[in-house]
Amino acid sequence: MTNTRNDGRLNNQIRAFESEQSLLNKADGSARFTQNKSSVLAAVYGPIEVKNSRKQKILKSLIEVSFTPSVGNTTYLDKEKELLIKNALESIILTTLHPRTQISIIFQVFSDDGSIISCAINAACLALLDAGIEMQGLIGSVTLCYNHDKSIYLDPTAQEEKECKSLSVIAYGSQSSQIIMNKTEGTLSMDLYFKSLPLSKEACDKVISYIKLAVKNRIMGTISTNTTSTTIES
Amino acid sequence: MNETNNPISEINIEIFSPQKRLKLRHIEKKNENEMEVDTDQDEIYKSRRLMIPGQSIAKEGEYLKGHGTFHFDGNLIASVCGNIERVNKLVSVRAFKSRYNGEIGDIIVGRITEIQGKRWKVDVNARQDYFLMLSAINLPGGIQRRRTSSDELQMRNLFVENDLVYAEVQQIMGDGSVAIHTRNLKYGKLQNGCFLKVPSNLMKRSKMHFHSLDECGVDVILGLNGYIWIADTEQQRKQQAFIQKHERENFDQPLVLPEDHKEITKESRERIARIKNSISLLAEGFMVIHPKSIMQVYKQSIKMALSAKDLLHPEYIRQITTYLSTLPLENDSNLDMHEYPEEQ
Repeated sequence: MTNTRNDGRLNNQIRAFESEQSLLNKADGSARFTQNKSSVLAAVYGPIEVKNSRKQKILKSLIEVSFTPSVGNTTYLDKEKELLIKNALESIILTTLHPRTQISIIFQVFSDDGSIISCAINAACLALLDAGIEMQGLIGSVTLCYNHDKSIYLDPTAQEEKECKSLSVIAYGSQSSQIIMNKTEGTLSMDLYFKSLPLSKEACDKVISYIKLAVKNRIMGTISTNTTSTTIES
Repeated sequence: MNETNNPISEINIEIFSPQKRLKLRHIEKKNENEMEVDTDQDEIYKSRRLMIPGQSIAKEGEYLKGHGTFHFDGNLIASVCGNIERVNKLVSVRAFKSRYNGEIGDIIVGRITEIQGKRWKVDVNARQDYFLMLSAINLPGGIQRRRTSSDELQMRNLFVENDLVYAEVQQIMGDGSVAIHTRNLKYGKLQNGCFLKVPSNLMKRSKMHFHSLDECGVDVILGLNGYIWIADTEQQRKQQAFIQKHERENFDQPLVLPEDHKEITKESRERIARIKNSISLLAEGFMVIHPKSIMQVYKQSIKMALSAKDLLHPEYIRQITTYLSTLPLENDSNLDMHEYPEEQ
């Protein structure tokens, strides 16, 4: 495979992960997930009493997500991200355990260089682990972009996202390895989409195993939690 | 799965923060005892002590499902990140950091958040606000009678929003809500002191939660929910005497503490600050908080000639936690660590 990407990565190479847990002291759980220039901080508060009692759910806990970009006000695009992330996290958190409570997950983007939704979901997974919230399993997410020449770039930068033909954000769970969330933008042939699924699956597995490693390392304090960038064999 | 022969699982579990790599001495002690009891052919104990959500613990039916676990696809699976605990056949996973979960008889410190009809809502760092019924408090003067609607209107004379209360868990309702009470002379409103919040997992259930640290003249209340109250012994005694006198003589009038009863000397403030930072230091190092460990930090900080504010400098935190981990374990019945997860 030839080197075609601007930052010298291979087509199916993810940027190196870096993470830090428990960096906020007021939140129940917090984590920062960084992939080169994309960096998101997630803070989890909960389960707590529902702030707005009209939103209270009788049979499960309410999940609230708020997403703040690094610059400027939140726009409708951020609202869309909130919804996506919320739906993805709702399916891995065991919400029925604590009815009439609320779990707030707050994201602050430090810097955005593409794949920001994936980055946020991965940060949320680490933050939820830190907060000790019951979950079905872990969640890992990657972004893929499909170019005009039918090549697929894994974990695109902002530049690549802008230039590509279509884009898809995929999240897999560690439990039974099913797709939890998938959002696709732009036109995309069915063939290409199905061809990319094993690739994204493999990449999400890498993310999940990184998250496991990060948690183990933090608790046992042995190895540094930086990885070198990972290549996924398709 | 080669998870079991992963070298990571062989390494001792240490304090969970990259900066503070210290062993929890108290936890080690527990293990020595534990080993004698549990050397049977226990599969789940062998190496997979640290559980991560989605990790399978055992086959369904081999063990009973406790907190932090669930059944899926014929397996018993962990749902939180933490250590395995096992009581006979009951397996649970205890998270390192989680919100407080009340049990009847727990002694807690809480903060009033709201007044609702016949009750106060109290924030206790739990998943829901606990409630304090009007009928579950001692009326001023200790009179016993039915609470009338006029009492309801005067609830703000007793506790207002943001007041701190020292209370005990009375009852856990069917729907998961929890009632607390202050029907004991030692419980009630806390005033003129210092409040501190630490992770509730560091608190240990014991007979006493109110401690008068004689060596420094400071009272501490170690609420099981991780809320801690620190005050000056001398001032609190004076204040208590005044309140009792007031309640005996003219309890129908609102209580106003005279200024000289609120006075805390500079030296005493210094000591309170040092105790507060000692507790924060223990929390930073994720070490068990009890009067003994607090005093160890306190004394060490004096020995090192640190001022109270320097105690929380990362370098001193490291030095003192290192020192604490070298201390021999005392054989103290007060220090039974049955609260703590088994770690390697």
